[in-house]
Amino acid sequence: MEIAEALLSNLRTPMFLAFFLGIFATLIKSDLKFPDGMYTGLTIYLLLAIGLKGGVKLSNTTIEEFYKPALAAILLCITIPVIAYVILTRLGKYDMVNAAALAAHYGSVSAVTFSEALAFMDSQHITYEGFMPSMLAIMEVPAIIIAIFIVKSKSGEDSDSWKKVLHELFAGKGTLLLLGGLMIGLLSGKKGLEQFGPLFDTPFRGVLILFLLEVGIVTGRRLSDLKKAGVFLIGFGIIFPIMCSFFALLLAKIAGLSLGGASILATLAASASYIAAPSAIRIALPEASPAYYLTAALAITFPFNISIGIPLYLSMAKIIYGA
Amino acid sequence: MKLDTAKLITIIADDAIENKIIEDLKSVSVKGYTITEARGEGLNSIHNSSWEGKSIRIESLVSESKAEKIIEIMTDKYLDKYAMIVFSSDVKVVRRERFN
Repeated sequence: MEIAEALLSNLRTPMFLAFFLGIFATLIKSDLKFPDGMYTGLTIYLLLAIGLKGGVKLSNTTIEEFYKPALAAILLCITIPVIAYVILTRLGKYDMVNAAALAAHYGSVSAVTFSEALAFMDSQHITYEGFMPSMLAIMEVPAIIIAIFIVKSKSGEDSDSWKKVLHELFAGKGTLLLLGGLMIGLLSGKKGLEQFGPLFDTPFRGVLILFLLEVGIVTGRRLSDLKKAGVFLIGFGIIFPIMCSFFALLLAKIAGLSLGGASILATLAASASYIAAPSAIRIALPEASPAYYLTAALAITFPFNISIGIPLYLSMAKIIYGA
Repeated sequence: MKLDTAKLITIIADDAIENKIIEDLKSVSVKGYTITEARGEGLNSIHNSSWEGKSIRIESLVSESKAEKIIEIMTDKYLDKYAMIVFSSDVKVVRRERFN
């Protein structure tokens, strides 16, 4: 049973185990807490590292190889929030603001889930295109803008608050580090990689473990909110990503991505942001309740993706690609 | 030493709107303010980790009329939407002319 094997090997990675340790720490009421500065530091490192490495890979890519997958990525990050919003308001009976906040999270992407997907492909010896981090960069912001737009256009708020939200999105450290890192990597190329590789490439997985430990702690704290989230949201947090991954795989095949690239694009489509989206939503949609959006992204979708999701999307990709 | 009365305005809010609040304070010609970090629980929020955002306490010494104006602005713009507390207390200050 190939998929079961892949699943089990995924659960035994240090990354997933660290995440689980974080949850466990909360459950036994440990006093383990990451200082705020450390969380910020880890985030800066992770996003910059992803951007830098992605930029170097991008410098070896031609436009021909890149534009179709890029279009697929754009299409995904525009349609996913809209579909999510419709499902959440019509079926889930969520109010406009909470539905939009959730849509922003699911339309955007998780850099950590992405890193996990890359690690998983590597462990399964599946190759993928080098420019996948650029897909991550593309898909991060548009969904958040669209979701906020859905709310603001209906309530007719002033353009002033729009400027602030857009500023937060584009000047926010998430986007800046990712896109900035991409640019630096792109412009400095291989020579650059020689210089920053020892800090940003080699220790990356180790730092990811630290980060996942923190994520586990925060997720553990949110577990009690699962009750408030309700059965619909729990179901949505698992089924909607699978739907998105399927849609992404079809687009990936049309765009000519490899099996690995398609699986990663599927993971991106299925992932929910819990770094970039929450900070934008806190400013733009303060009436939205983190008990829904943060719980869904952190306590439902993220654990699902890094445990079952990623191996599942690879298996789905294998079927679609007839491998 | 002659001490005069003034008002201390205290605003406790999510740090995401720090800049907005400061803009509002400046719009009523508040000359200065002090920000400290805060955490706690409220009716709306449960935890305060770096993920959900920090809380800040903004304090400023102002005249009575400014204090009322500030509370009015906070009530109109933020109290319904954001988790925020705003209150004014009586204090005695030196160099009262600096806080008008």
